[in-house]
Parts: sequence; structure tokens; C-alpha cells
Amino acid sequence: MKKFLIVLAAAVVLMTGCAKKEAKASGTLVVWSFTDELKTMIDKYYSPSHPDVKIEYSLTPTDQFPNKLDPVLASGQGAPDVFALEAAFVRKYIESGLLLDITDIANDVKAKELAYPIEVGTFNGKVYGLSWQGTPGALFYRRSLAKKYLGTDDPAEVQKNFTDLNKFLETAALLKDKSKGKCVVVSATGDLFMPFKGARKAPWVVDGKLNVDPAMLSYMDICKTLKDKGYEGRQGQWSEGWFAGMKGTLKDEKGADVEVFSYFLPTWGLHYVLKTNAPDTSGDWAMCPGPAGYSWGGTWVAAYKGTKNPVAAKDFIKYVTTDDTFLEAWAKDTGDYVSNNTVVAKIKDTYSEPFLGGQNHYAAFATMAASVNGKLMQGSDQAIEGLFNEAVTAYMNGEKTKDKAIEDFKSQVNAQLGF
Amino acid sequence: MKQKTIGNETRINRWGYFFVLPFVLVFLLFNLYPTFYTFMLAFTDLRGLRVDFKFSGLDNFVKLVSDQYFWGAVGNTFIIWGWNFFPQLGIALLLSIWLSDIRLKLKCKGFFRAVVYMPNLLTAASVALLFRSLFGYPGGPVNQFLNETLGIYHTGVIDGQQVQQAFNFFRDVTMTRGIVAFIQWWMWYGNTIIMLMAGITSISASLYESAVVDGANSRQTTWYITLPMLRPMMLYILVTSMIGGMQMFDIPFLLTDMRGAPDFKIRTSIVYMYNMAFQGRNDYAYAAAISIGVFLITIILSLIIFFFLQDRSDLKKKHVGGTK
Amino acid sequence: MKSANSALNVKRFFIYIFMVLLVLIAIVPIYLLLINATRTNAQINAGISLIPGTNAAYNWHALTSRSFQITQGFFNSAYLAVMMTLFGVYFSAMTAYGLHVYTFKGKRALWGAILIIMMLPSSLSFIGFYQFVAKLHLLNNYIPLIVPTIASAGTVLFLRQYLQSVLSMELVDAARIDGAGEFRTFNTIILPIITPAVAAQSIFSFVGSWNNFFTPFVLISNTKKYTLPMLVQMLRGDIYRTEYGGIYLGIAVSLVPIIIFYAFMSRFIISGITMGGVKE
Repeated sequence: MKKFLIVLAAAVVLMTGCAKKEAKASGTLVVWSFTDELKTMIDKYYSPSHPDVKIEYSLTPTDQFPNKLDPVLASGQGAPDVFALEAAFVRKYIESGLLLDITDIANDVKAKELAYPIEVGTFNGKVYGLSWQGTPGALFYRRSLAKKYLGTDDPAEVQKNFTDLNKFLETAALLKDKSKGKCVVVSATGDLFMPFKGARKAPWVVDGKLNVDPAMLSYMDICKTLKDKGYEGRQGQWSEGWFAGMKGTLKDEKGADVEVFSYFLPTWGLHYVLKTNAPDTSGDWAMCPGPAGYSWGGTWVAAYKGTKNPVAAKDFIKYVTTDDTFLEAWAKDTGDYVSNNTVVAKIKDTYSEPFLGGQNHYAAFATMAASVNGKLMQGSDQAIEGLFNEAVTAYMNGEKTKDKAIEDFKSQVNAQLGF
Repeated sequence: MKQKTIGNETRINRWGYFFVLPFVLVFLLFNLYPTFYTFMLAFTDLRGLRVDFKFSGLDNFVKLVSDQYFWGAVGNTFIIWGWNFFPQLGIALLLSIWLSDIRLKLKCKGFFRAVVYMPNLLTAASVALLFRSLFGYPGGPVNQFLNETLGIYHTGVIDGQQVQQAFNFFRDVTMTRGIVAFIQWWMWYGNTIIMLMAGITSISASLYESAVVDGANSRQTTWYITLPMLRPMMLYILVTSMIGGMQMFDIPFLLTDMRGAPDFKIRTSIVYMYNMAFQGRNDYAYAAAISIGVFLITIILSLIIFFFLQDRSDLKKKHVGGTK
Repeated sequence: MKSANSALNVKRFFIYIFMVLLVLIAIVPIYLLLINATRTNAQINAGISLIPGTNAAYNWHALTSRSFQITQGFFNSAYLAVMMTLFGVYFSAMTAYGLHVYTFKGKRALWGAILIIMMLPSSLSFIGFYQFVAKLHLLNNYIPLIVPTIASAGTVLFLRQYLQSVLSMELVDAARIDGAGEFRTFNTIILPIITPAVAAQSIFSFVGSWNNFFTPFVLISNTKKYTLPMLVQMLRGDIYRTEYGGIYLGIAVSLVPIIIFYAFMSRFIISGITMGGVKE
């Protein structure tokens, strides 16, 4: 009888404990995102383990997502409870004061989480957004071309040719020389923007004033050099030609083959860009850190300050961005590099990527993730960089002198953004 | 009897209020309120994701008047509109005259009119998508045609040597403006042809007949009869096209990088306003000031056009339709 | 005489060539757009083609395998277009009739206001409009899309012009003497008379509302209520790789109904614009 009572008591405690947990997160959550990623997470993992929470999901393409989110957040009418934020505009909302404070969750998980995504989600000491992934970037190169022109395809050896920006230029020249003009180091000068941004020491706006970091000036120079010397493929990023370079099918206007040596891509670039678009070249790729550590893209999850269901919202965010079991399953499912260091440490040695000729990309990314500076991202980045790109293109194409291009850039930023 | 009629008249005239009431109500609610809100915004400093704002008097307008980029945008708008409008009017005029000419007896008029109107049915987004890919660099269809079929190349310099390359259309200000103007023309010239033909049809045939009897040739009938009689119609087309032209947004926005590249020379006034309001730091107050600025410029220009070009001897009623 | 004729013939020949050229310029881009709906992404980016491809089925799959239903979008667009046209044209006819037939205080002011408001850029009064709709809790609802069409200044302008050239006061008086009420007169006698103009405006309004992207985009966030242009735009949400074939097919799906509609109704559109231009 006693035993039975104890068991019963234990069962009751357990059940109330469980019931309490479930009762905590319940109700409805309106979730907005710009891809199907979050939906897959919800359908496959979150909803089955949180049956008490009803999710209403809505998708809007990335380039219209801010247009959709702004009016609802500003007016408070029709605002979602939880939403995803892309790296391109995450800071705008983190800095807005309209997001739910989730510093408590962040403090809970700080020890096991990758630092830079939390840095990105922090403003004035408080955390407003967290991410389930880390998106460090690397240099992906073609093994066959490396063997042909550099004499080796081993990542450590190839990296020696790209240790810094100067070495990068030397190698670019070498490639062109040895291939008699056939091989270009990148297909698009735009590829270099993210690495150079990562190499900055300070962000775009310091103390309310525009700050053009020396790395950005170097970027302008290197774009011009690459173009003038013919070290680049003259494609635009995301254009058909850019993809063709990955497949090895890029040709110039005269029909001659153009070999593209490398692409600067982050974690998701491997799966969603290289693998999807160049499946036939599988096994002929490898990755090395490249001239600078950088991050590119990434998705953060945040909640609206005035959400009617903060308990469920916080619980959702904590689950999706930090839960060990979920993230391990997610990593195994998608190969995504997750922000949970515990999980990473656990699984990183298990990877051998056939696309990369057997290289362990996960472990490689783990090393690179540590060197990303999360304090360089700001809300005004997207607008400033849009204007900056115009200046770079104008200078690169010889339309303006460097000084004029920078002067015009500063003037435009001042007019439109007040810095 | 008279008094009864007057009483009836007043009573009946009150029905006027009834008929226009729905319009006025909805208009006040959904049109006037937002418009006044915009006017008010221009005098504040509303910006970003906040909802609170302070009144800042004429600050935004002072900034507007001395904003080189605003006037640049206005200039861009005019240039592109001009390149679109004058060929549009010219070609439409030629065609409508020919098609209405009894002596020429051209066939398939109906089919022709129906077909040239069709581009007006497309969304700007679809057209922009198509043309952006047509003129792509370095491998778009137009480039392929020029390079491979016609053997025409652009000469670039690489490493000190001259190289044959494709044309980077969207980095050339003139080319890009030309493409935008062409698309606007393409979408609207059918409309203009139809309106002009309508205008011509209503010119009394007897005028032409008596002119022919007097020995006038086609050039003379055109110059002395058709054009003067079409003047009010052309004036109307000019004004409505200009009003629409000043608000040109879709194509310049979607064809370029949303900022009017290259060098912001395709940035029309409304693209500039959109950049201010919905991109960057969401400066709604300044964007409101821009829209008021555009509005004022439009009104002043319309008045000038009417004042100088109106055929005073012949105050016909305004005509309607829709042109850009 | 003969030389005059042959001069005319030569002129006619060149004009025909010019006309053919213009017809080609009008049609070819539309044709290219439709053709692209049947080609693969790679083919589209490689160049243009005058011959249809064989990829329509794949593109259709790309279009429909997303988390939204293109057929639902089609019906949403159709519903909205019909409602907006009905409301817009009927009430505009009412207003135009009111302005034409009656004299009342404020008539001229109203007319002036209509003309002036047409000159204001619409993109920004948008913010006030959005906030207003939000306050009324009418977001995600079709009502704020349909009701404002009651006040369509352009349509009123057009219909009033037509009334002025077609409707004589004698007709109205005759109807009144017959004892019909004002509103009945309007519905049973006037509307039939101005049917051609109403038809023409209905077509403009239908096409405009069918193609309208921006307003529904900002007001509606429930995917099930999305219109066709919004769904086509959503195809660009694949941030890793834009499936152009699917996008073009989406554009074709939006475009073909309009073209068919237009083919039947072109007679009315042409004569509709013509009517607006008829001088008295």
C-alpha cells in the first residue's frame, strides 16, 4: 500500500509537473517568416512536442518582409507574436524597442550558445533575438583547378595562398597567368563584399556618424584591380552566370570557357547554393577559411513586445533556437550549422561531406564560427550598403574616380539617413 | 405654375445630395483623411518604427527646397517622361491621321487598335522582369543577338589590352533611361492612338470635304484642319500624361536596383519618396513633404500649360479617359 | 489621276509596313513572356525563344507545390475584381448622374475637389489609410479594398463627360413626368442609356483591380486571402534560387484571363475611350 501510495504520489508529482509545463505554454501563436524553414521546424518538431500551442503561420518573401512587418509593429495592430528576422534587416528591429525582452532566456543558455548570434540580438545590454544557426563563411574552391594551377588541393596548403588580402591578389594573378587567362579567382567581385565586411574593425555608424572602415576602401580597390586585370568573371551574384561558374559551364561572350576558381559562401551556401546548383561537380570542391573570417546571412527569431502570449512566445523561441534535442535532430536533418555549441561539439566529428571530397565541413565551420565579430551589424546597414554598392560599381567601371565615388556616397547617406 | 415648378425644382435638386452622398462619405473617410494626414505628417518628424512625433514646422520643406537629390529626381522624371511622351504623341498623331484619312482607306483599323492597346493590360512587374532579363549583362538575349548574330561588341580594356565584351546596358544612364522610356511608351501609345482617333472622328467631315473641293492636299488639310481641331484633345493628353509621368514609379523602381541606378539618374521623384518612406530610416515625414512638393509642381505645371496653350477662342469642355 | 493613285499606293504600302512593325512591337514581348512560362529556369536565363518549351508541367508544379494555393488566389482575385468593379462603377454612375442632373450648393466645390485629388501621388496617403484601417480592425479583410472604390474620382469624371454628351434633360423630365421616383429613374432608365460607358469603365476597373498588387499586399497577411499578383510575387521568396519558370507561369496565369476577357470586350474598350473623347 505504501509503495503504491509513493508511486501514486510520484506519478501525481510528475504529472502535475508535466501538466504545469504544458499549461505554461499554450494558446495561439501567430508566426511570420520569409521562408519555409520555420514552418518545417514547427510541423516536424515543435507542434508534436507542444500540442497545446496552436500555430498560425504566414509567409512573405524576404524582400517584402520588412514592408509587411513595419506597419503592424509600429501600430500594434495585426502584429504577429513571433517572427523570423533575416540578417539583412535583423538589427533594424533589434534596435527598435518594439521587441520582447528575452534576456532571461539568453542568460540561461549563454554558456552553451555561440556568442556572435547573441551579440547580434543584443541592444543596449538587453537581448531581443536569438538564432538557431551560425552562418560563418568560407572560401570554397574547385579541387581540380587547385591541383592544376596551385599544385595541391589540400585545404591547409591552399589556405596558404589566401592568408590575407594581399596574398589573395597575388594568387589571383597567378591563376590568370598559369591558365593563360582562362581561370578567374571569382566569378563576381560581389563575392568579396561579405569577407571584407567581416574584416572591418568598426561598424558603419559610430557615434551617429558615418564611418568608412579601411577594409571597405580596400574592397573598392580590390574590385577595381580584379576588374581591370581580368581576374574576375564579370557576373552578378545570383545571376545565371554566377551559377554557371559553379557548374563549370560559364562561357564568355566569344563562347570560350571560363574557369571559376572559388566562391565565398557561408554554411547554407554549401547546401542551398553549391549542392543544388552544381550537383555534377560533387567531390570536386573543398573549403578553407580564406583571407578573413565573416558571417553571411542567418535567421533570428524574436517576439513582439506587446504579444498577448509572451509565455508561449518565449518558450517557442527558446525551443527553436537552443533546445539540445531539437537542434541535434535539425542538424542531422539539414546539415545546418547550429548555434548550440554543445550539440556542435557532439556531432562535428561525425561529418564527412562527399560533395567536398570527404572533408569535414562541420568541424571546419566550427573553427570559423568562433572568429566572427557580431558587433559589426547595425540596423542601417542595408540602406548604407545599398548606396555603397553603387559607389563601388561606379568606381570599378571607371564611371567615377575613387574620391568622387566616396564623396557622392557620403552625400547620399547624409541625405537619406542623416549620418 | 411657375411657382410650383420652382418648388419642385428645389425639391428635386435636393436629390442631388442623395446621389452624391455615398461618394462624398467614402471620399471623406478613405481619401481626405489620409490626405490630410499626409499633409500633417510633412510638418512633423515622424520617422522609423515609432508612432509618436513632434511638430517641426517647415523644417522638412526647407530641407526639400535645398535638396539636390530631390531636384535631381524631378529632373530625371521629366527627362524620362519627355523621351516617352513626345515620340508617343508624334507616332500616335501620325497613325491616327493616316487611319482616319478617307483617301488612304487603310484596312484592319480595328485589329490594329485592339492589338496596340494590349501592352496596357500587363502589370509593370511582369514587364520589368522581362526587360530586365532581356538586357542582362553579360549574357542576356539582346547582348547575345548583338554579339553573336550581328558581331557588335563593346570594347573593354583588360590588363592594358583591348577586349571585346557585351554591353552593360544597365550601367549606362542613357540606355537605362531609354529602356524605361521605351517601356512607358510601349504600354501607353495604344491608348493615345485611340484617343486621337476619337478626336479626329468627331471633326466634321464636311470641313474636309470643302477643303478638298478647294484643292487642298493632305498636308494642308492636316495642318490647317486636323491639328487645330485636335488641339484641345492633345492638350488634355499632354496634361494627363504629365500628371501620370510625374508619378512614374513602377518601371524605374523595378527595372533598376530600386534606387534608380546607375548613379541615381533613373531615380524619379516618387522612387525617391519611396526610398525615404519605406527604406532607410523610414522618414515618413520627409517623404510626405516630397509628395507635397511633387503635387505642387504638378499643379503649377498644369496651370501653366492650360494658361498658355488653351485655345481661348474655343472653350470646349474637358475630355476624359486615361493616359499616362 | 493615275499618278495620284500610285502615289497613294506607295504611301499606303509604307504605312502598312509601319503598322506591322508596331503590331510586332506590341505583341512580341507579351508572346515572349507567355513562352517563358513553358521553359526551364536554365533555358529562360540562356536566351529567348519563339518556340514554346516543354517545361510547363514542371513549372506548374513549382507554382502549385508551395505552401499556398494558386487556385485560391485566382478566385480571390476574381472575387475582389468583380466586387470592386461593381461598387466602383455603380456608385460612380450615381455620383456622375447627381453632378450632371441636379444643381445644388457645393456642386462646383465638389467637382473641383475631385479634379485636384486626382493629382496627388497615391503612394503616401497610404500610411494614413493603413493606420485608419488598422484602427477599425479591418486588416486582413476585403472590406477596406472594396468600399473605397465607391469614391473613384476618375470613373466619375469619365461618366460625367459621357452623360453630358448623351443625356438630355428632356429625357429626364419625360421620365419624371411619368411619375417615376428619382432613384428609380436612375436605375431603370438612365443606366441602360449609359451602358456602353459603364461597360468600358467596368473593363478598366476590372483589369486595374485584377493587376493591383500593392494595396492588398499591405492590408492582407492571411495567405488564404492573397490575390494572384501577391502569390506570384511569393515565388520570389525562395531566397536561394529563383524559379523563373514558375514565376513566368504565374504571370501567364494572371495574364491569360485578362487577355481573353479583353479579346471579347475590346470593342467596348475602344469605343469607351472614344466616347470619352467625343466632343459635343
